[in-house]
Amino acid sequence: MEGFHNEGNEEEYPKLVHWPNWEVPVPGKEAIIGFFVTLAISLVLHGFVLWLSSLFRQT
Amino acid sequence: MLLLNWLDLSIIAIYFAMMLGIGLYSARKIKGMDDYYLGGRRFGKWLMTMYAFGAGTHADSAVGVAAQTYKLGISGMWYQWILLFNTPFYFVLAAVFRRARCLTTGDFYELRYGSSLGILYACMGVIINIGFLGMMLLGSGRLLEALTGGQLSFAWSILLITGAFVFYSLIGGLVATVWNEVIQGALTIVMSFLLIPFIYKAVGGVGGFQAKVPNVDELFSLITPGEIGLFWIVAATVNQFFSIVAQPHIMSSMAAGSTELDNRVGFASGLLLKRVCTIAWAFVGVLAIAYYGQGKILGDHVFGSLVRDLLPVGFAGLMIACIMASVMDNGAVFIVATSALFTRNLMRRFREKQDEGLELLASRIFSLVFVAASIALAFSFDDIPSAIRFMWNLVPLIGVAFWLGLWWRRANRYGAWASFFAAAIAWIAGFYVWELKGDSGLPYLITLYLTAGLVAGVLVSLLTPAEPKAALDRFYLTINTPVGQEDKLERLLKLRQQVAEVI
Repeated sequence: MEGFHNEGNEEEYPKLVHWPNWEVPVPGKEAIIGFFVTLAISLVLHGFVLWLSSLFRQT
Repeated sequence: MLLLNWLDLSIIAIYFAMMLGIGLYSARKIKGMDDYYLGGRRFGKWLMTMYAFGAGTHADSAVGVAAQTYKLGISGMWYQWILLFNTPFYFVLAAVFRRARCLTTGDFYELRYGSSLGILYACMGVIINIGFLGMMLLGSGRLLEALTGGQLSFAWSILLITGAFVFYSLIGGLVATVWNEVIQGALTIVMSFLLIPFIYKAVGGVGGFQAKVPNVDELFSLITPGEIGLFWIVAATVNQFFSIVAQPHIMSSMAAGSTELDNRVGFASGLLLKRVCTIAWAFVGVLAIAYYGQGKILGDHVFGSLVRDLLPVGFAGLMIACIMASVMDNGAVFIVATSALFTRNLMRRFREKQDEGLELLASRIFSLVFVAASIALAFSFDDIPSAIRFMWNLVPLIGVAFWLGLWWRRANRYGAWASFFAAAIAWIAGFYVWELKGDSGLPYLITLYLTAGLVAGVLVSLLTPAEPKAALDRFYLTINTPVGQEDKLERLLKLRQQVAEVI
């Protein structure tokens, strides 16, 4: 029963990969949206630091 | 001379009266373990944000970043900045901690691997928290010492801070802590940015900085050759994945929200808020090079000295209130998380009959022992950056087993023990035998112990019997079923059991 997944049953959680012994779930819609929003904010913050640093480097 | 006047002292007194009121009010609401450890899981997004921010932001955060950027330039901010690109993944991960329905991180290890790993984690968790509290006491003590111009010595600073947070945690539990986080969080944000205009003006702006400091390009590069390079950044980022999941207070940071979304948003927002403050701490540290001269004062004293030298009367008092608030709530978080590990994952192993009243009393007595060990450690660290590196190496030793068990059914308790011992031996050998020390040795050391832990965990798991299927089914269904759908969880567990019996 290793790697059991309840195919066809809507109640079973979906898996990202169907390799034996792996249990990586598919992230829900809420998680995916939040992931990209958080990533975007992180990139903006990093860009802000790069911009500030370039201000001080300018001669 | 001691620079505190009546205004500073009044601010400190008002602040403490407010904190005491919140603590005493909160104490009345504690009815059981869930209330004490997770605040009854009733916090919304706003409270969770401030809690995650406050729990991850101590005086040593500002002191450490300013010390490193004062020493290395802006690249020193990576000491806090590395978590920036991990944060999106934590948004996804936060739900797992809530769905595990555990009170402590030790419960999580026990749920996945059985009681022996629960005990191992409890022991490691206590050691980890001693390290975190010791580091926080070191940072706060150095800051108080600098703020008072050395009149309040490092030793006395630590004793004063300790008295405040022990008293606070004993009366309030996590409810008091979370409300304290809100106030402390707001103060920390204000104080982080308040210094910027003062020091900017003091050094004469961009032009003044460039005139006073010859190596501007080098100081404002996010890479420092030989110290903090690309390999350092990648290794430290990967290391954080193994570190954050194994921190004892992570269960309350990620699971005390009233809904799954509250946990996700609260935890990610709290971490992002800390990154915003990190920008301020980092630039303050670099600008201090023009103000004091590079290497002229102790790195750990930079932040406190700037507050003392640049901010108007009354702000030193506000900063001291801010530090005390930070240490009080973070110290309380560590005490709450550590006492939970002690009672739930160690004490219950040796007592058949559960007695919540006795456990609460035992956890409070244990807290005092824990605090004494943290004070001893605070005196043994050289400086904040070396303390941070020590904690970065210590926590992931047990974090490897977390990731193996989270996604891979074949990971078992023997593999988890092997991963811990292999990573620990590799760390000790790398540090003491091959002398992989400081920033230059850090990425090699991280690569060494993470590789050793992962390889040992996989190999030993494959060579030994798997965990019982029923236990694995329960674990994976539990962490993939949202809280509130317990009927569905039980139904699925029964279904799996029936299928197993037929086969």
